[in-house]
Amino acid sequence: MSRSTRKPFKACTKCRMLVPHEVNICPSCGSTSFTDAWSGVVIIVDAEKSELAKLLGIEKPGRYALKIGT
Amino acid sequence: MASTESKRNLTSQFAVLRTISGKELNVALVLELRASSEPGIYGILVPSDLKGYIIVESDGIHSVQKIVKGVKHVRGRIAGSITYEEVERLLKVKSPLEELQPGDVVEVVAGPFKGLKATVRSVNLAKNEVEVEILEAAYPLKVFLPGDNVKPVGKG
Repeated sequence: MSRSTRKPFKACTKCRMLVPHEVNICPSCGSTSFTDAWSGVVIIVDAEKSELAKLLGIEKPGRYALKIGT
Repeated sequence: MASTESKRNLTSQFAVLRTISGKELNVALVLELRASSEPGIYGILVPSDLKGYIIVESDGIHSVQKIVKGVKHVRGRIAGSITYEEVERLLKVKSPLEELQPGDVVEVVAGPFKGLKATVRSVNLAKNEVEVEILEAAYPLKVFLPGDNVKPVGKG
């Protein structure tokens, strides 16, 4: 028997930021389009010093999905 | 080499932590909370295709050790650190559909055709969908399947 667990966040389809399900507008880009089909997470703590942020083109600290779509 | 090295922040180090499989995100969220009081932590990566591991970007191992101490579900740290190039490779997540070409043979791994082999007819990356022709059917049977329902078996 498989147990399905709901993901704790949904991802903005425009900027890939992860937000709680109750949020309706993306705090990063203002988009209202979200998806539950995402995988991989990158958490940027210090956007200026982080190589991960530069590699992914992220300018603001926060949680982001690595990939949108299943 | 000098040119690529000079573009990068040489103080960044990537430490690999082992976690209990399935708890990667929970660990990353706890570390995020702790990182707010530790200026040496720059980022945390939870790769989608690497179960049981997370990668912490920091100014050195000592910063990682500080925030990891006592965190539940962490099973230890892999000695040493991984290179920027290895992290880059992990970040470039490729959809399995991107590697499929029309004519390739796939095995259906879920749904009503589970266990049957099929030939790829077309791939729709935008919809994450693949059109296949079931090989073991008595008559030509073309179906559209979600990308996750097929597994590559051989090239056509």
